[in-house]
Amino acid sequence: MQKALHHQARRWGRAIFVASLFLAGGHAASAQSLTTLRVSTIPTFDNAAFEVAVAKGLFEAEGLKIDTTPTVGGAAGIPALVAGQLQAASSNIVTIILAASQNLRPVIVAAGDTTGDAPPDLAGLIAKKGASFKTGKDLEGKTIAVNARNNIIWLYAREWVEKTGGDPSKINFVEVPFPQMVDAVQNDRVDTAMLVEPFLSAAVKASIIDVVSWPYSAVQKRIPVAQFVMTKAYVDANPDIVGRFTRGYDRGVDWAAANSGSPEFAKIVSDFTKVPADRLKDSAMPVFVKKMELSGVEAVAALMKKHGLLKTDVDMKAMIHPSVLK
Amino acid sequence: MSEAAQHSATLGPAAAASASRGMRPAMISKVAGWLLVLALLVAWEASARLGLVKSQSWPPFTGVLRAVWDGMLTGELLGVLLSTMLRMLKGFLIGSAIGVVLGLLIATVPLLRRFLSIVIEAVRPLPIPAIVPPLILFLGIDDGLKVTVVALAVTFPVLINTIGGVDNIDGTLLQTARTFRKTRLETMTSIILPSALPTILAGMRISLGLAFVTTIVAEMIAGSAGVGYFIMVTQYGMRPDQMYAAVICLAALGYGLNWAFVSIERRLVGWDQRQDD
Repeated sequence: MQKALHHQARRWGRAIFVASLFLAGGHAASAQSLTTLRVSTIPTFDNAAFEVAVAKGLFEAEGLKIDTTPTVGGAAGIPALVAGQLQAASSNIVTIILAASQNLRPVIVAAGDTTGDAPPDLAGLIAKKGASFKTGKDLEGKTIAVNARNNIIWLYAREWVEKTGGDPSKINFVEVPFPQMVDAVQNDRVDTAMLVEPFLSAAVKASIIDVVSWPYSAVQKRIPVAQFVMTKAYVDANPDIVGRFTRGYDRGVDWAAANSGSPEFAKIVSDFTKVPADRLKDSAMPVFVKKMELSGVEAVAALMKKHGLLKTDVDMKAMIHPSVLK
Repeated sequence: MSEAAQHSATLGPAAAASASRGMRPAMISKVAGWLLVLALLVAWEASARLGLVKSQSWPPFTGVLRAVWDGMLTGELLGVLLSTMLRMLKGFLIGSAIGVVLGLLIATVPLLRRFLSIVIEAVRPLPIPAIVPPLILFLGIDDGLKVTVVALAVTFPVLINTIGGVDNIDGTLLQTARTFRKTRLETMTSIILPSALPTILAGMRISLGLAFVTTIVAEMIAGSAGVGYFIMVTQYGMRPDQMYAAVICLAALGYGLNWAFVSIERRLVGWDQRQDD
């Protein structure tokens, strides 16, 4: 808060400073003042369009001052959001659906990103060079590394196993953080790992691993990955701010689409992820979207139910703000 | 009298160590200690250069040193280290103060001891990473959370040592105080606190290490500042050299902090000894 105020005071002077104090109480903004939103982010490619909107002043153009607090893994996002410490949080679709099932009432206000239509996409199942297994059936009795159990990677790895003739219950899923997955595979700690960018393309480029399959694409096209959520209470009380946030984000999506190969885009992404800019060229980027397909989210929820991650029915329509629903 | 004699006897070896005759073997083992550090660093460099470790994220030590240098030049690494230190010191001071005050109270008021002991013994073993997520609900994800968590971790060793230090004060001293009709406050400041000080300081030294670790763990779990976050983000950004640069700086800082604390401790306990004499 102090940092945010300091920035504002420097940039906008006393008038805005006073206005932001006023707005910190949750009041709606008048047309020319800036509303400060505290947003929890995750320093991965999923947030690239959002970071573009911040860096290019697209939120400011909407009268929003964005104060980001990145958290690796995003574990702090939803609890802090529910506690009212934040106004918006970046989170992944599985976590959001789980939060909705626990009646925390998250509302998706920016559609975030999705996987693509065809491989290479955002995550691949990797193995040691020359490994013989190609299907889930081949992997029975073996070990698959996932970054965390009960999340999107785990879910699609399990479904891929089933889809390719294997029984997920006969496979040992172990947790290995993404940065250590290649080492774990190379040193025979695990048989395979479901690895994401930018680690995947770096390992492929160094030709130290094989990609066995692309579980995301094999199971479902255009999977919704990560979105921005607010609480229902905040959305109901601040319809104007929500609209401006969504517009700012959407303009970030447009800019990212138009400038995806530009050095400026690479610099923005590199600045917030710390991934060297030259690595980005080889890396697959998510598809940034302005609208969500209800069917895509329902498909994720169905998988969660099937694999025992979700016990209750969740009203998907209530979870997605009408303005971001296709 | 016998108490004073006993006290100086326990301090005897320390005094002997600083005498010139004891210096030589101490010096030799110190040099050997640094040689071991050097040998480990050479092994690190060799394992990375010769490809003995099959990993993309195992940079040579010299590469890490370069990252330390670059990080200091740009100010980024220095900035995150300072912010971590500041957070840690805040938590350490708050936790130590609570530990000492509460410890003195518990040690001298039996009713309070019986009342609080269950809560203390129940909260004490809780691992910090387990209590961070629920604490986010009350304290947010900023400094308030981290400083609280650090203070919590620091409090218990100081508290336990303070109680222990007071419990072990020789009864004769307290009886003497009573004979001279010292007030409760005078007894506390002139007898109890000085006598328990070495034990309290030992607890604080344990807590200093804990404070260091806890700050970084809290930064890794929540929030966007400090070395903890820096280590996570450089790891996920495929910059192992920068990550190990932060780790190396932490090792140096941890060593420095302990050294600084030991020097302060020696001075304080030395003063305490002169008082006794």
